[in-house]
Amino acid sequence: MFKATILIQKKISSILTALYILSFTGALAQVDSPPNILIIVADDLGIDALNSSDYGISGTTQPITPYIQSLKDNGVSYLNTWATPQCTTTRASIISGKYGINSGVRNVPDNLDLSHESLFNYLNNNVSTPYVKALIGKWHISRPVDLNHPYAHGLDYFEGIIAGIVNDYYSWEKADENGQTVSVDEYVTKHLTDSATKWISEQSDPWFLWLSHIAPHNPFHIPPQGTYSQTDLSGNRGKYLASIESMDYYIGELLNSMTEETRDNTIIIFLGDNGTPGRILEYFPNGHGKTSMYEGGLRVPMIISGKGVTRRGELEAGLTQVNDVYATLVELLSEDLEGGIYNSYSLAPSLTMENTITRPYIYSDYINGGVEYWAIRNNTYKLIENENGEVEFYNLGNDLKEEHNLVDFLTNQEATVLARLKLEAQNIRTGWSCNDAILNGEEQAIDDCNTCATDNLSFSNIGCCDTPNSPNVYYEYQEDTNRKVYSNNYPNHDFCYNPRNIPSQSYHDLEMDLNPTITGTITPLINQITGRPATTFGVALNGVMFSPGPALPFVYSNPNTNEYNWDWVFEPTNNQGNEVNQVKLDCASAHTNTKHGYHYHGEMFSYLEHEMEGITSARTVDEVIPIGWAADGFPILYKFGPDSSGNIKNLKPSYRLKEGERPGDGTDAPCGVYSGKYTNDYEYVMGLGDLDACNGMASAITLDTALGEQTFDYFYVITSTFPQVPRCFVGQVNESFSVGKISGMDNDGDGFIAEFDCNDNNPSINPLATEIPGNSIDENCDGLDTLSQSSSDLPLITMLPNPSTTMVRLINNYGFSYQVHLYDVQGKALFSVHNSPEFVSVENLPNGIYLLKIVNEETGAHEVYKLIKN
Amino acid sequence: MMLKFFFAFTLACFFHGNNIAKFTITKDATGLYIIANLDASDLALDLNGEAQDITIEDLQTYLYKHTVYVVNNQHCSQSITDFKIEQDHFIVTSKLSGEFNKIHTLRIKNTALIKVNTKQSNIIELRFDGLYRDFLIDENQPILNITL
Repeated sequence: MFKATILIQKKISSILTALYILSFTGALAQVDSPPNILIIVADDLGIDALNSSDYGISGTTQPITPYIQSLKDNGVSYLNTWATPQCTTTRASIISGKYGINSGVRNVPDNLDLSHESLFNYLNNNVSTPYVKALIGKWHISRPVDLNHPYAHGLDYFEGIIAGIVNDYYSWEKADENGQTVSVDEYVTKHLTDSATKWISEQSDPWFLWLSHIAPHNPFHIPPQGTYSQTDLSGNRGKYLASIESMDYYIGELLNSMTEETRDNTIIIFLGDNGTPGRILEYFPNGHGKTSMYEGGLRVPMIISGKGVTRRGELEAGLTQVNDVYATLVELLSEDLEGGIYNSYSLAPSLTMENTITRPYIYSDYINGGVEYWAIRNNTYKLIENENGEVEFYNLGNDLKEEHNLVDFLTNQEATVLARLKLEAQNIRTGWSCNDAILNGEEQAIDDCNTCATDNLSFSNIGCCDTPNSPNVYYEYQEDTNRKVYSNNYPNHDFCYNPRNIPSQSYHDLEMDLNPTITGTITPLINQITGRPATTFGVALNGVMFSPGPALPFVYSNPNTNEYNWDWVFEPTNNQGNEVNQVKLDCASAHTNTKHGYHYHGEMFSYLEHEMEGITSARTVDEVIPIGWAADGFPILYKFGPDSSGNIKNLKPSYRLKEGERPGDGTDAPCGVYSGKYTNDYEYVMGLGDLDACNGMASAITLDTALGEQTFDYFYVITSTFPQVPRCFVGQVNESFSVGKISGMDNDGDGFIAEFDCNDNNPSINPLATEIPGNSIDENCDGLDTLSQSSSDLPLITMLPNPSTTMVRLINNYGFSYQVHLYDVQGKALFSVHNSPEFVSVENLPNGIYLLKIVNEETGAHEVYKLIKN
Repeated sequence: MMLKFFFAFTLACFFHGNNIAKFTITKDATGLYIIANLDASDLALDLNGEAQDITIEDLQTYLYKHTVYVVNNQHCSQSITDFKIEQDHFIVTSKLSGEFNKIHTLRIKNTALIKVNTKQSNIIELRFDGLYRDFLIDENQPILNITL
């Protein structure tokens, strides 16, 4: 073992030096010399089994592979490379430059039909330099087995295993260069390496060798001594890693067998063909390895090193696929391509420059157990679908293991990404993508078939930039059978605005049915004839209006006539930002209209956090959170509510993005994928979530309101995803919510206009002021100079007797802890008693009127009672 | 105060676009009317004056200069019948000359406020004969040709 290690180290040194010189001089000194091509394919090598830390994977056993490392150190490692989940399909993809849906190779075994122009035939037909092309090792794309198949695909030399597998690494059969089947009793990897070494040594013309190893595919047989360093070979994983190390050893043998001149003139591509097999998989969950569409099955190592590769030791995060080898080699050996060819994107620019990989998606497909699967991803998200309609959606940025399917937990942004991925996969599967950065299909220029501009969406609000400087007034009271609300519609939390439209107080006089009923008729928020909002949705408990409906100019307009089409209004919560055609929602998902009326369009973060810190990120709560009143009188809850079983949960809307593309052609109506740009991009699907079409639930709920405890048959919910604020009503909508602001003057600046203020020259007097009884002033405008109590409200305590001579008894009506503070009528504090006293002595007080204040020790809530000592 | 001004100025630079003015076209038995809703500060800026100093004559001259209405191929002059200020906006009502039983075509040119705000959106609202149609006029397309 020691001798083997020394030997390996000496050879590494030699290779490293050669590769360094090669990459340093390659692009300059040997520009005119056609390069040789050496592709080395490892069979069943996933990202958990080679350089796993590059992918953020830790805790896995790793092979020691100094020669592959030397390739990596002197080349580019492509970290986001997809293959297919199995050998045959991947090899067909590389050789045809096409996805399985286009190559027809969908499973194992399968046949790559000769109608597809293989990479070898493409070079035969299009490269003036006469390349000699060989494949040594595994072929595996011929069904039925045809020994002539490799030659028909353009190879000049084939030696190896047509059917693709061996049963014993030390006793196996191959087809020799004459097409004869011969038995071999030598370790497969060594034998193939020796054949490759011999073949290369015989070439005088530029050559292209595909060395297609069987290793480290099962059976997991221990390699020859001296070719590996693994010490624990008791299990299959150890043998598997030893097999990789042995392959690496023989890669070293091969490279060392080449003259320095030959090595310097060779481009080397090393890659795996699919992920690690399940029974030896580490890091990834069960079922997420080879044959699966998960990263453990699809993502493979790929390194390009050698002549012309000037990026040395760099990790490339661009989206790549193994079938990109086709276009890359075409571009390196023959002609410049427009992005690539077929489904193959040229990586040639990335060999010398960063940030040249611009394709937005990669794709893979495969038939497993008779069911067709396909996967597609962008930089962050990945979609897996199958022909049975099953959908999985993952954030690879934080879930490489793909353990958290987000399909049922989508944010608006994620829903948009999912829709785009779905449509892109559909386009790929039915023709040629218009987003693949490749000139293919009917295109005259790269992706010129994509006539619809990508929607400009924005899911980030403009933040908070100011704090309130006017009073916030929400005054709720009962009048006949109506709940009345007076509001100055001015936020009590941080906010932001377009300086042109700074929020100002806008007074509202609202009313709604105190005991609303479900009418059986759904009333849309939008006027169905004009398309304009018919009413606001409701009012929050801080007095700010909910107005989710659209307004000009945030409506689609015909680019020729400039006429607005109100069927296609911008969905504000998906157009939040500060760019043109974005609505500039602030940190409370609100903005201000041209008449300075502040209103909520979505989840009101700043308000909610102002009331209950941490609530917007909370996953569970103990109690429901009433947040306002709808225009039909039903309560509005925030996000949480009782489900059909009565358990409080985060309730989900039943809306989703429509599938496919809008019917419009981009003139009268918008075209393109349903992205969420427009409200009309969404559809209600009964039963999809917990809530109904109006984002509410017909379920009895009892709430403590300002007018006492009430039970309702229905409630609405403000959700985190579309529609966030409901867009229709189940009850009778009160017209006061469509009137808009009312006019009036507020002379004393207390937020109440004169019509609602019994003294508009004194800010201490208004309906929300604290009444001080007996001072001949009606502070709270109830017409009395006494404490008023709603008949339905039991006071915090009941005080007996009153008047009293020596002692008063305080009966605690709610079982809370309280303090007692006694004042004279001038407000002078006389004494305080803590610890919830049941009896308070007044014996030593002079006869007269006193104010007894009860303070809830937990909440700070308080009530003041008039006490008479006689 | 200085900080407040700086803050507002910074925000004003930060935000852009989507400033709108509305021009609502209505009709009754007495004729065709335009109700213009213009941001007072923008208008003052365009007139190099103060909002409180703007007179009906200023508005008449401004609208004459910046708006053209051709109805059924007939050029219409406009005269202001009413104006008021509401919430920092001028609400100006003008009557178009001519009598129109039925409107077949409208040609509208409108450059109001575009000089002071290149991202200005002037919304033309048709609210007559049962119509409820809206059009955009902006720097890129200051003229509308509408066939009804």
